[in-house]
Amino acid sequence: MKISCATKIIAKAVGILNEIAGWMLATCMLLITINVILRTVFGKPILGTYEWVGILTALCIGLGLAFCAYKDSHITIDFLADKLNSRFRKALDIVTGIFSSSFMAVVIFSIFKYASKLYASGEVSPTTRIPFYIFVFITGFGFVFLTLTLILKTLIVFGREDV
Amino acid sequence: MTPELIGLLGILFFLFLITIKVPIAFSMLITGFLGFGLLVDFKAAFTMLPQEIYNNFSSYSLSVIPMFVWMGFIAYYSGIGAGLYRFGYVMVGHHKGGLAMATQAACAVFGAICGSNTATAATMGAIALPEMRKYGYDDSLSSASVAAGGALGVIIPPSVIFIVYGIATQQSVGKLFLAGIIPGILLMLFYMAAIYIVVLRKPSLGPAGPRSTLKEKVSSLGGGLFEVFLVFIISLGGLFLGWFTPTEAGAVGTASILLITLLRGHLNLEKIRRSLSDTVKTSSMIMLMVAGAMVFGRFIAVSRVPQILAIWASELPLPSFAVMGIIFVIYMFLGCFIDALALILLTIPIFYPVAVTTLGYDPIWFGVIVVLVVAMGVITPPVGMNVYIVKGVAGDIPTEKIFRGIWPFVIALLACVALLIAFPQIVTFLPSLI
Repeated sequence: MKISCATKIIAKAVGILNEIAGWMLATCMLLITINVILRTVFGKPILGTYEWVGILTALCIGLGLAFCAYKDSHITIDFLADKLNSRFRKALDIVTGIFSSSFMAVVIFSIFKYASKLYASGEVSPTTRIPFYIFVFITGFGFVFLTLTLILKTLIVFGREDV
Repeated sequence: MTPELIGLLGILFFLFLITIKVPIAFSMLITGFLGFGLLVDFKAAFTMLPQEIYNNFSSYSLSVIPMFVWMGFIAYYSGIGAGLYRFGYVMVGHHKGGLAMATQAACAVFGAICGSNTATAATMGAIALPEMRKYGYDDSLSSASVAAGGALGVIIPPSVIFIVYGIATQQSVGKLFLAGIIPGILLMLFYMAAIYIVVLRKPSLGPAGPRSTLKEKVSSLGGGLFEVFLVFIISLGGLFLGWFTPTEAGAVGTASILLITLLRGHLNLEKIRRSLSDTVKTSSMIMLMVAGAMVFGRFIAVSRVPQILAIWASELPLPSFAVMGIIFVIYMFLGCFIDALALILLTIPIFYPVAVTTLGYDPIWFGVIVVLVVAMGVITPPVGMNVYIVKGVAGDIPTEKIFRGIWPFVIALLACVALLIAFPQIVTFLPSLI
């Protein structure tokens, strides 16, 4: 598959994930606000708000990671690397790209293993009895797209194309 | 190899990684994972890594971060910044350097609904720079005043850095927010004084703008100031009074500003989507960095480096204020190279026990001073983030020119820090009331 085609697919996918993540955040904000109103005005809070806020935030962040990487928004220290000539800079970008994506593969593996462990143990949230493993899997899925984005960025540098 | 030596080598390895452009969050995760694996065992590190990541992502306390970040982006996209600048402009714009001073006032008020220095700098840059150019302001003064003013966004509550500091040190976020109010206002006044001195020495740098009529002054009160005041009272007022948790304050504040700006027609679905997209992007960056810092912190804790450092600091033949002085100089130096939030996350496990547990300094005061000191890093070379943001907004002003104009503001910031060190009550007074 050509890099330009892969770029389009990844861009589309991370854009959709980012959109979903955004609406998760909006839902989270609404849930908290409605809970505050119901609690203070009617004395009847929504049971499980605390748990749902945690879950929605985890999904929002997990699904937003790839878009952040796609937009080069993860903070890096550039001032030393920027002083190198373009050949060295390119080599450095490739090395760091391979290094970062390799480590993220370890992170993905560890998250999926953790999710499987939660599934096997049947661990659920105390109030709403929601199984945790589903959301850990989705977070791992976010890391998969983060890693794919990092690999794509490295390939682009390797092929001297611009994002 | 002793754990302490592995700890120190780990810190060096982390510095090496960030130098070769590995993102700071990834560098902390990698170093933390490897260091913890070496000191405990890799099976334990493999279990700790996903747990720390998921637990941080799903932490109720940390969910406050995207809430306040979104509040700032709604303010950004709804154009509230323009109304605030207009207010400052009609009040002091007719004085020499008045438009640059108006920028500081607008940044300070905008900071009351936005917890990010970059968002504050970007918002005010887009509004204030064209105005200052129109009235013949020197590019160096105008751009530097916007970059420096942006730093007010992290001192005046709500502040993402205060939230992260509060969570990392288990201090009350509400108290930290309260503690930031007076230093934030003081810093704004110090910045204004710096502008006044600069234009006093060379009036051509900031010529006076036209005088506004009383009618213009009264009408400017409605442009953004009302929204900020209302949201600040509802959101942070509820937090200070103990009605809300910080997360609830963030959510209620965001709901309020969303509702107000929608009703006033300043926001549409497209702008909401863009604000959400930016919020998710920024929050993901912050939360991954927090998770990385937690993993890194676990490694540093088992390496016993903080304990060794604390013992060393307590046995130094120096008074405690000199040790604190050294810590702040280290922060100032590192702040020139490392992003403010990353620096706080990275150094808190090391310096907090020394400053608070060993030397007995107030944790809220320490937090405010550290945030002010690292805020200096966002305007100083070589990685002054706000300067690059302003450069991006201004386009044709060379980066060196902005950095040249920044020094009066750095001196003002240092003077403000010195005042707060000499009189810690300025910081601790408001938090002591709750």
